[in-house]
Amino acid sequence: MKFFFFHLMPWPHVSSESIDKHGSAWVWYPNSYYDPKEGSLLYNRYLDELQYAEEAGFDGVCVNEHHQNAYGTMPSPNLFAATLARNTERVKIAVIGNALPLYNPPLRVAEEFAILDVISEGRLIAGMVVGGPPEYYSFRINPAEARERFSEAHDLILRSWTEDGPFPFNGKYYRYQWVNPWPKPMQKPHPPIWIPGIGSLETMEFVAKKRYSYMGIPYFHIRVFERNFKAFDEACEREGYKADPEQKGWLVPVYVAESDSKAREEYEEHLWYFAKRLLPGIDIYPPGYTSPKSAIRILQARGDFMLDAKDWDDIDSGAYAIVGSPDTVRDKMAHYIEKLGVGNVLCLLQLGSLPADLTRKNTDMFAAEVMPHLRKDFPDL
Amino acid sequence: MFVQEIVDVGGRKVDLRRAGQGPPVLYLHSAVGDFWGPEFLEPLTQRFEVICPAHPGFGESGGIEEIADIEDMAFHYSDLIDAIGAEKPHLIGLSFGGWIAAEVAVRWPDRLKSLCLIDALGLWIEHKPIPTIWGIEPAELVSLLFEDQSHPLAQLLISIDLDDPPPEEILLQFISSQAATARVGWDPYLHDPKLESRLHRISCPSLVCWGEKDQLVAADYGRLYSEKIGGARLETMPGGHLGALENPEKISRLLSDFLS
Repeated sequence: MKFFFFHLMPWPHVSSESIDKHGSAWVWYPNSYYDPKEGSLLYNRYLDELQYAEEAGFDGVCVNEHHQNAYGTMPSPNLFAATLARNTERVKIAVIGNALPLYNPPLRVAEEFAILDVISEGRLIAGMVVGGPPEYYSFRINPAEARERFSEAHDLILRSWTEDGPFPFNGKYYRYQWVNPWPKPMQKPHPPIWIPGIGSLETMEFVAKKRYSYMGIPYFHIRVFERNFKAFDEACEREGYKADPEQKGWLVPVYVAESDSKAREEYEEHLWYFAKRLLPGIDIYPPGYTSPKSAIRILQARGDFMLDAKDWDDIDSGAYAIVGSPDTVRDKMAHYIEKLGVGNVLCLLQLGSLPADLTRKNTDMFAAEVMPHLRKDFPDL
Repeated sequence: MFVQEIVDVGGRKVDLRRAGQGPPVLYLHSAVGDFWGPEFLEPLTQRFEVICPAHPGFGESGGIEEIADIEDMAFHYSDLIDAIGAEKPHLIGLSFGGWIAAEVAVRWPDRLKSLCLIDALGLWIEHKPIPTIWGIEPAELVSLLFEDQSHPLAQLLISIDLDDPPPEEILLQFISSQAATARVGWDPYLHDPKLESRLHRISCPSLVCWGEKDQLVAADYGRLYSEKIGGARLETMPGGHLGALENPEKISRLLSDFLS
């Protein structure tokens, strides 16, 4: 059972007036609201929180990639991973992930991931993603090409890590006469690869076939996770093996305090800040991003997304976030870990506008009073 | 009376409609999917054979996976002209279809009898950028496309609310046609940077018609098309970007005069 500390590095000053006015925290939310002085404090604070996760006993830290938004201010996760590689000793450094179609040439990903793996002495987890829907508005890559570009870039990166160069690569989107990146990763044959997914069957089949790990994208009702992990298990069975818990990751906001009521009291406003001011716009699907049939499936799952949660009951009963006393959080997490069969839990212990002191308290309480018990409960996961 | 048929164009299935008899008129529809034989074409069916194919990804037409950009679309229509045996057709295009028509015309100027561009996309004027049609609410899209937002087609578009999805077959059509348009027009956004400098190659008689209240592709674009195509006539008509669908009378008359 492995626990990861996941950070989104949110902008905590989106006013309700501004979100009403612009309707979205993504793509078009004006960067005149960005304040570099405050940004400097935040980046340094957020990096401290990630670094502290090692001291608190987490197995790994996670960063990810989003562009032109207030939800997560990490357009280049590799920069953050680089400072973490230098300033930590033990934890896995999970970059989940690099949005491959947004890198041209994608050999940059092969190079930068290899650098991170070498500097950290083999602690990198290499996440690869198609990229969220809004990124296609921000970066102008044709969404109709997203899946093909992802798949071709993936093949190129894997070959560059596992075959000796120089060799030619002649793809539909990417062409090289000489593929020969320096450095190459330390982990052999290559760093573990994690792929986040929203429920598309094609992604699960790809992950199952390659024996990579599948991360369930959060902010959905717990039944969506159940459905998706079941489908992933079945995809692995079709490949002739049983999914290893290591291959499954559950990403979830968590908040622990002295009692259930105190937890809700301290956390609720920050969760609603996240849901009502940072999530709007994340679901702006560009045309052609998925097949028309998948697009309809995604539309039909809309009612099960945190944007649609109306009150605390919805949050609590749908397990959009696990909130409560150490006992409550432990019980709930044990229940879902067992049900989902996951070997990795990716905890969002800072969310929305949750301030530094409460983030620290949450991290400490989770690490001291929840994590050890769950490790004991699930020795084999 | 337009009659539907399915034809094969180089292995791609094309859903098309024909009406009338006489020299061929080929109509390339806009991205709202007006391949059913819109009203303004009906008078032409008395003297011409009017042919309205659905673009790949629209209606029952297949082959969208072979289309990566506007040039592929132009070659698709060159193949289609061969496949249906329409020798030297009159080519008419509206909006997205107008862009395709212009791309066909610059590549094969001798294959066309005449060309008519109606509120055509395809060019770019730096100080008159074309506003986005993606990532906006249906009501906003409709205000870009129509002057009269109570027009039945405008109302149909507004009714496609993704928060309250319509029946699956309508939604599937809508999503597929949006995806097909984005495939060709996502980047560069609804234009081809090389088109303007090629327009001088068009040698057939040409007519450029523009909706007076076009909010999507400003009237400057109509002037630019008519200036760059040698000898093209420029006409305006009432209505917005899809004025040809809103007010069929004027465009019908202009087309009848032009083609006779």
